[in-house]
Amino acid sequence: MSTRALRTAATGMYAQQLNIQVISNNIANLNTTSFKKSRAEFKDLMYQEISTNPQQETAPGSVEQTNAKIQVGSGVKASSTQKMFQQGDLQQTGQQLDVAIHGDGFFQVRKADGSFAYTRDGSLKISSEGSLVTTDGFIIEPGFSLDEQVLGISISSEGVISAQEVGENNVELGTLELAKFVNPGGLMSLGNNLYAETEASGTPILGQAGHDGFGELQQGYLESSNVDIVEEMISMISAQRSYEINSKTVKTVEEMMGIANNIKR
Amino acid sequence: MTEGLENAASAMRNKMMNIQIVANNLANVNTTGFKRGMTFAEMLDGEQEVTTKKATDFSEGVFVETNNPLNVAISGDAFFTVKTPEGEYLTKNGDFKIDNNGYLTTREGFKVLGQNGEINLQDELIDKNINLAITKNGEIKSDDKIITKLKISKVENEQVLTKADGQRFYNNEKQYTIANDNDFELYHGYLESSNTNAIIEMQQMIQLQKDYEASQKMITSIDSMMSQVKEMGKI
Repeated sequence: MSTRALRTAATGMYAQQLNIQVISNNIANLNTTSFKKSRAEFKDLMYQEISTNPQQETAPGSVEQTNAKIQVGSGVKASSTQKMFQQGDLQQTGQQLDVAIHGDGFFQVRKADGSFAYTRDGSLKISSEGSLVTTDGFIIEPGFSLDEQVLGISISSEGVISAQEVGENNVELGTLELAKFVNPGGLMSLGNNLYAETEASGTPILGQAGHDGFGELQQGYLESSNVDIVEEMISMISAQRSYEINSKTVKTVEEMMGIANNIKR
Repeated sequence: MTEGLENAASAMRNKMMNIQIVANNLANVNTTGFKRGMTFAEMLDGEQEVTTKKATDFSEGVFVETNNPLNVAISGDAFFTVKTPEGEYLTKNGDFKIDNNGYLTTREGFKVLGQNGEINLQDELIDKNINLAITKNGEIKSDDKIITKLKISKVENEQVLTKADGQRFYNNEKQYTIANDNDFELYHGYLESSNTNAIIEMQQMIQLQKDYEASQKMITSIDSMMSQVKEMGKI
């Protein structure tokens, strides 16, 4: 019996430790372009019915209102971490290859192993082969190639890329496609600002920016992290206090066990 | 004499069981929609003429703003209804998600019920820039079109509900009546936090520990009395 209370308190401490890990990762990514904060979710564990109900006898004048079962819970566990895809602030950078998505959608990139990943980090570069890549060198899909003669690139809010070439007028190169998901919260974080499709997120729906619910593109801007430092600080205080109070349970039960041991001198 | 011993021992067992309830409340201090269990001493509310027993404290937790369009907090004596393989369950936890088939589900993947059954939002999500809203009386709207209405259930006496993991509640029939619109209010973009009150739990914990100690003292003094009785027998 008593060791169960100890285990329950331990689940509480473990859950808060995980909570702190999630919060510290949010704070560490305060300045990460297009970072989306996470939140730890908790759920209570199984309940066990204790057959002995010490107040079972109904005294005169009392009303039996419960189901006459005493249920004892066995603690808490972290059920999931939830990504919060709220829009981060758009910051002007003046770089012609910085593109922020204002609204829903992800850029689709191809990883080295050939599979697709999704990102909202629009700090794009031109690779040595002339294709549009992310900072980490992943090629934006569907891609297009540029030659060295390009003077300037303009990207419209609907994703149409046009290049100004030497001695020529603007040439339209193609359109950036965006991907969106039925349940973006179900995407798996891969690190490097990338996300992968999972069963929970559903398959990507491709479309043009500014149409059918896709966000608009903003050239010369980057989306900043959506972490709110005040909110994280408050969560951190609350997690620390919860950790502390669960450790008090451990201490109390430990003392009670000591008392029980002292029955026989 | 031994009767006193047994009483004290049963009091100790009882206190230890209560500590387990307090420990569970404290472990779930950050669990959305959690309702704290009451210790045996708290259960008997003898202020009025009749004594009522309560096993779960259904008082409202604090509503925290999350701005997540799939978060809803429920105010009043009513619950969300979810469908599981074992039947319908009730919950106060309005932290929902949309699964890969477009159904509105709980975090654990149980489908949230509307008044016409399961709620599928796939069409609304794909076709247009969805502006999902949930009104105070439970209507799910995309812009001005009402898609469906959440099944908000009511139980005449909440104390008959049994708790299950994942902040769920149920009674044996697992069939629930729909609540009237004026019984509840929904807050869209909010979550109801756990109603565990750290101060009450700490106070309970101190009291239980002291009572436990007192019962132990009782046992040791009965024990020494018994040994004195034995001494009397010696000449």
